[in-house]
Amino acid sequence: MFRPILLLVGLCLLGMLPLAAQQTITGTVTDDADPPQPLIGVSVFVKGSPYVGTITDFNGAFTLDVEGDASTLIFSYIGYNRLEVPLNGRTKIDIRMSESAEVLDEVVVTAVGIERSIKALGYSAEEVGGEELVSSRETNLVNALSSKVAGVQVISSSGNPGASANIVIRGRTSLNENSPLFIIDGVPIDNSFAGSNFTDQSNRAIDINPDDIETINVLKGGAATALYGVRAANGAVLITTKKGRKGGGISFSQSVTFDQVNKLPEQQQLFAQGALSGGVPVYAGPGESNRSWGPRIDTLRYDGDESYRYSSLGRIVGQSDPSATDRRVVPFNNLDNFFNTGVTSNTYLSASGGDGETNYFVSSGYLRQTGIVPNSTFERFTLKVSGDTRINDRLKVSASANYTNSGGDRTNRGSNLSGVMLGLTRAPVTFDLANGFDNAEDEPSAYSFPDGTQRTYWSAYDNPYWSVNRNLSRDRVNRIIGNAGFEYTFTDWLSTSYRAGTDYYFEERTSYWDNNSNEFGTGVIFSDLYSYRSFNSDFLLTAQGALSQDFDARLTLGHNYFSERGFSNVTEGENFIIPDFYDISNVSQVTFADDNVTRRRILGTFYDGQLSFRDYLYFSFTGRWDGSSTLPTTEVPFFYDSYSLGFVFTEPLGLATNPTFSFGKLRFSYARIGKDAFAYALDNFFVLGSPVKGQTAFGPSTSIGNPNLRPEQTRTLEIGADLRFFQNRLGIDFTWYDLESVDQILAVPITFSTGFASAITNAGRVRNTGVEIQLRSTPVKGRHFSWDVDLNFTANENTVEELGEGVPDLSFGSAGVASTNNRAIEGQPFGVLYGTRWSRDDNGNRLIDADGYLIFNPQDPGIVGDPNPDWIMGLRNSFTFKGLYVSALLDIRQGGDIYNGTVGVMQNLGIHKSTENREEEVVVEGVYAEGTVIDGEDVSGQPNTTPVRLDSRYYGRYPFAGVSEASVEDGSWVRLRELTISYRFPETVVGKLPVRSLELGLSGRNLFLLTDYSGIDPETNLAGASNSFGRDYFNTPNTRSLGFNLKIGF
Amino acid sequence: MTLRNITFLFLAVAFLAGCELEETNINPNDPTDVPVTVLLPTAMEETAENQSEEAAVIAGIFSQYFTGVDNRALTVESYLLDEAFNMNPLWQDFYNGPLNILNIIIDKSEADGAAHYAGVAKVLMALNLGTAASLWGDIPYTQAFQGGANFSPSYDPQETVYMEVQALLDEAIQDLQAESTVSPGDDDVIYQGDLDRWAKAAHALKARYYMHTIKRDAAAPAKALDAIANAFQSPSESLVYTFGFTEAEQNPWFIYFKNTPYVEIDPFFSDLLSELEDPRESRLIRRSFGLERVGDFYAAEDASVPIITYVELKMLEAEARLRTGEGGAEAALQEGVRTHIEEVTGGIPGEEMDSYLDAHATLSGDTEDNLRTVLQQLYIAHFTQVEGWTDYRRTGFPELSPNPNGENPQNPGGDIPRRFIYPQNERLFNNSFPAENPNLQGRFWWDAE
Repeated sequence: MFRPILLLVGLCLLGMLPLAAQQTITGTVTDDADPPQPLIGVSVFVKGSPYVGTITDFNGAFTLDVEGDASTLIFSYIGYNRLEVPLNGRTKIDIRMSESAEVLDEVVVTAVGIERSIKALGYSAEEVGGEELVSSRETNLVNALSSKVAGVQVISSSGNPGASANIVIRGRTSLNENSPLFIIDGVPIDNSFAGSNFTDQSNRAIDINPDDIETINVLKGGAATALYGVRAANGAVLITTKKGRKGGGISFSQSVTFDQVNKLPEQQQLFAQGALSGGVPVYAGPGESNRSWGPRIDTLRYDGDESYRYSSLGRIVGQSDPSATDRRVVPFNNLDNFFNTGVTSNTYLSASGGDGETNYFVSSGYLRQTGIVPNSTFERFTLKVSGDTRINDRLKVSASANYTNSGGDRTNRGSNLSGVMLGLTRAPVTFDLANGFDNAEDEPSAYSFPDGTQRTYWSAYDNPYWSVNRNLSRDRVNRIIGNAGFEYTFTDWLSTSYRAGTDYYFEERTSYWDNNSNEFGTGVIFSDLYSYRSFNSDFLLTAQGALSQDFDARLTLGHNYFSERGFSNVTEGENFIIPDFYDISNVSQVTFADDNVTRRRILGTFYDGQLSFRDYLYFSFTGRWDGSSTLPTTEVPFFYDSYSLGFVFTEPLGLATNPTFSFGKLRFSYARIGKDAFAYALDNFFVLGSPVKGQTAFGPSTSIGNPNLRPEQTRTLEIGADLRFFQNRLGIDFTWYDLESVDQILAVPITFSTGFASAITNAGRVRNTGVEIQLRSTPVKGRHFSWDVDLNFTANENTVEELGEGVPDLSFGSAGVASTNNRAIEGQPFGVLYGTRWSRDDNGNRLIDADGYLIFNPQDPGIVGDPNPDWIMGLRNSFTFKGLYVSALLDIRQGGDIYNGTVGVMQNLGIHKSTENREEEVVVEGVYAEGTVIDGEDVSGQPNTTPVRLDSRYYGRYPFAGVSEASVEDGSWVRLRELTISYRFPETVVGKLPVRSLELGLSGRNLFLLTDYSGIDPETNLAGASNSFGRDYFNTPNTRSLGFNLKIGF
Repeated sequence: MTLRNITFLFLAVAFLAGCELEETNINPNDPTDVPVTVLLPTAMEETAENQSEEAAVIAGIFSQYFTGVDNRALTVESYLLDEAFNMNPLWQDFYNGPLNILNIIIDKSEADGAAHYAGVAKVLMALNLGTAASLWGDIPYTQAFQGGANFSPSYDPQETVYMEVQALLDEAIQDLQAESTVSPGDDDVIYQGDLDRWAKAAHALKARYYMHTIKRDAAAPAKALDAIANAFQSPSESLVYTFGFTEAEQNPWFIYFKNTPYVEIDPFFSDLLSELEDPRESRLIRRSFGLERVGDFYAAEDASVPIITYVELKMLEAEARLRTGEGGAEAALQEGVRTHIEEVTGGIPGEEMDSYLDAHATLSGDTEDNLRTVLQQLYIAHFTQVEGWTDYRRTGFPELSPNPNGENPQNPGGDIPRRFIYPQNERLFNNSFPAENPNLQGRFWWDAE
């Protein structure tokens, strides 16, 4: 098929010859309704010259310059029958297009930017439109994908502004990292998460403005992502941004959204700060006890001493105390008082235009968000410029640049003595954290004493008002993502394209804790710098054509080069000298400084072919050889491949025009994808520590490198069906997949007595089997009114099949709460919650001791929950009536346990609502342990009859956060994820205004939430975007929001 | 752009990139090898930290120096240890810390003929091994630190480990006097290269670890006395680690009470000092806001951490003399107590000192009473140190009553714990893990009933 290069050069020159005489064709395109409505964005191009074309404008009009020998125009529009219209010398063509019962023209972008007809795909692909992404006004585009795509699970870490969200496609596969590859207009971008144990940081996809997005296509299976190679082993999120087009115009939108906390753990309202003393609850004031096991609040009075340092109401004393006044003690509502209404303002302006040959798109967006936690903010400014031009009918060049400036002020959260929720929820209701002020966050005397120390109920925990003023993390990211490329057509069967892109960002992050804050004791500042740069180059050569009357073929050969370099520099200082000046120069000692460089390069060569038989049988195959710098030279390049088959069985059956069942396709695919190692995994190293008395100090790294690593491999088998009924009014897409990841490259834990803590090895096999169902239907479709129902359903079952020799389990991110973490355990779902358990007999009965208390053995921890949901579902109902659009997206999650350490601690401290029954005696369900003797009688194995009081003696028997098992709760939910109401003013109104379109909208997020979970919104995660999930330990709550939008087109 | 240019560009990129693949994976951050001079400071600092951090907190709760008031110390207070939460980090602090680093230093310096480095490292190795064996009993040693060559190191019986400790110390004493290609200088952040002191410290440690085994070895006190004769001759020779060289190097107790103040002083200990009207009380215990915490002598930002001191040695000498029946026990005890009081208080009037020594450091009763007196002073001198709990376990003094809430499946009978439990990390990942996982009442070799 390929001739010598000289011939190609010849062809190339031929293409640059002056063009023949031109003529201009104009016309309009409408639908076949009555009266006809203009169709906007219809592709119009010359038959045989697919690059000579344009699209219709807002009025359905088009203008196209064609060569004199052009004979036929092709009109193509998604959902409408494609038309071929002979020119016959005409220069004005008005046509009407009819809606298609078929899906011929639905085109999706697949790997490395190859556009494919959905009809031909042998694997499932799902696209989310830009409108659907921005409808709920999510700041983070990952959150905006939540419950919109089958097979995709999104877990956001909290309701803090700019908080990270984690996306997992078809279940967690990798024991290392499960983030999919993010690609913008063909350029891979970084979505890493430089997390913190103290604050909610962002995942870097937040730098993408959802308003700039035209569509997102989620590539789920191996066959879909195989061409991306090692980087897309966890799937890929393909983002296509808006492009310039003729007749685009100017668009302006403004939205304002209000956020409120949507769910909080409940505090008890009956008992004061204090503890049992000699079996009697005794009040203990600020600094004397961190517990709320004191006396009943209604027995307490203030003594009225205004000089009392903690409260102008005076000390709290018993009602019979001689100093007691008549002033009764009433509980303070610290929780509700603390949270603010967050406000997000989002402004977006874009301009798009061109003459069809040269097009441009320019946009700018500015978002500013204040959070529900006082002083928490997030800001994002984006600027985008893109353009494309056709130099001649063979060469088209395009370029795009995107600049983002983002960042915010992050407040402390989580397992952190300065954490906002920790100090807030632990505070007794008899202590007013706000000290009587309405705006305590702005009032230093609410949270500090004149001597500069904290006013807090317990000296080890920060007053949250102190924390939001004195302990912040500020980050600022400057980022540029850009690409440039060309497409060149040699002949009607041979073309090439090249695209180079880069992603570069620089983050400055300053995190400080003032002197007298609790997390560090002395003041501490971390001054961090992170930079990241990647460069990606893709070269493609594509040949396509008909092999015979029945067979068509297409073959793409490609080359990819990818390099990335991450740099971080961390400087830590202690003890601020001048107050209120948080800079690394203002510390008495710089205690730590280090930098780190991580580099990786990948070199790949690949092919992608398709063979189709008539209009209904499509066979595709891909293969790729990858060289990666992180693997031993003996292991590269490594090869992997994929095969898929799409069979439109309704075609040979002659059903294409059948009014009931017009389209049915079966899909089969099989793929193997390779994956490389992380950088520097092959050797052992020594690591520099802080100097010891001025001497340089090194220690051996605790990880054993492995010079014999092999690439990982993920195999996917996927079978699916796409069925459409009633002229596309009902569509069902069903996918079953089985995905197995083997030879995973892991740092497996080993016994410390080897001198090391982990060894890097190829170990581990994880399997994900699941079902994805998408249902699209239009139960009512009239001229003015239509009703659409879209449903997506995902059930994924995930099993850790093998972890390698001598590795019974692996734990992920113990940060925060070491007692309960996520683990991979053979035969179990990925990331099961592992922690302390009640002792049980062989029948599973909990064991009770002679005093009636549950027994637990800290030397016998085990699995206490599964944080993976059984299934998740998104259900959207949308209604259109003339210009009015109403859409409601329900999000249902069944199963998925959450470890609620927050409530465990609150119970231990006697502050949780559930401890209001402390005066009652209960008989705990269980049986007496072996050898239990009561009143001389051996009661082993008998049901417990000994009552106990659920007071501090009960909770005090168990660990501080309780026995893990007791704190695991079901995280199922039903929520109204989104509610959108918008109104597009009709032509009759807009016509009188100097605008082209006008739209007003109302959007809601999380307006209702049904869940049995007793803590905050169960959509939360202590460890951010990572393999540690389903843990809540003083996490920041989530929000419900209501927003107003205005959109104007000029 | 012509196709020729494109092709050329494409090939050029491919070629250049291909050449750089292997080079890209050279780690610019961390070296693959370093000299012993930069490992020794790390080993010394981590040794000192292990003598004072979490191990000493838990041991201190068991020996009633401390009482757990918050968070994880609360459960320790009722004699519950979490094999992951409490034990994993501790075990790692030894095995991924000084034990492994010292093993590397010994190997490297023996290969290079740097006998003096080997000698210093062996003293510290013996100290860390002895500490670990006194907490856990049987521990991996001969097959430990082999990385990927042995993922399941077997456990050496405690008795063998104690023999190894003595052997290491004997070797150290020889190495320190041998020819050496290079010698430690400022990188010896404890004795600044004073090898004579290292030799004395080796003898001191020999004495301590002999005294650990008195319930098993009747000759141990005599062996200890022999060692003591060659050990420290003055308080200034003590093996202590000074903190506060820079603000970054704060005393571990200072950091503990700053960050995780989960313990306070146990009334048993504070009442004891009050009862004795002990002049050290205000420097050993710091009282503020109704809280009792470790005082400035051990917990000031720049306070030193004692590792093995002249004071300890004098008191061990007194104990050994009582046990062997040789005279001079009282003189040794009084020398120890006087030195300690002077160190802690900075000096008190002579009469006050004499009356304290008369009242609390005279050995005029029967052997039992005298032992009680010596060990009471040793108990005070070992405040904040792991050794305090070891003294109790090997002698039964001071007479402690267990926490009444201390009975649980991990601590059957509810008595004061006799040992640490093994960490989860070992139980899960070491195939040589003992078949029977001991609980807190497990008695290892030297802890005969």
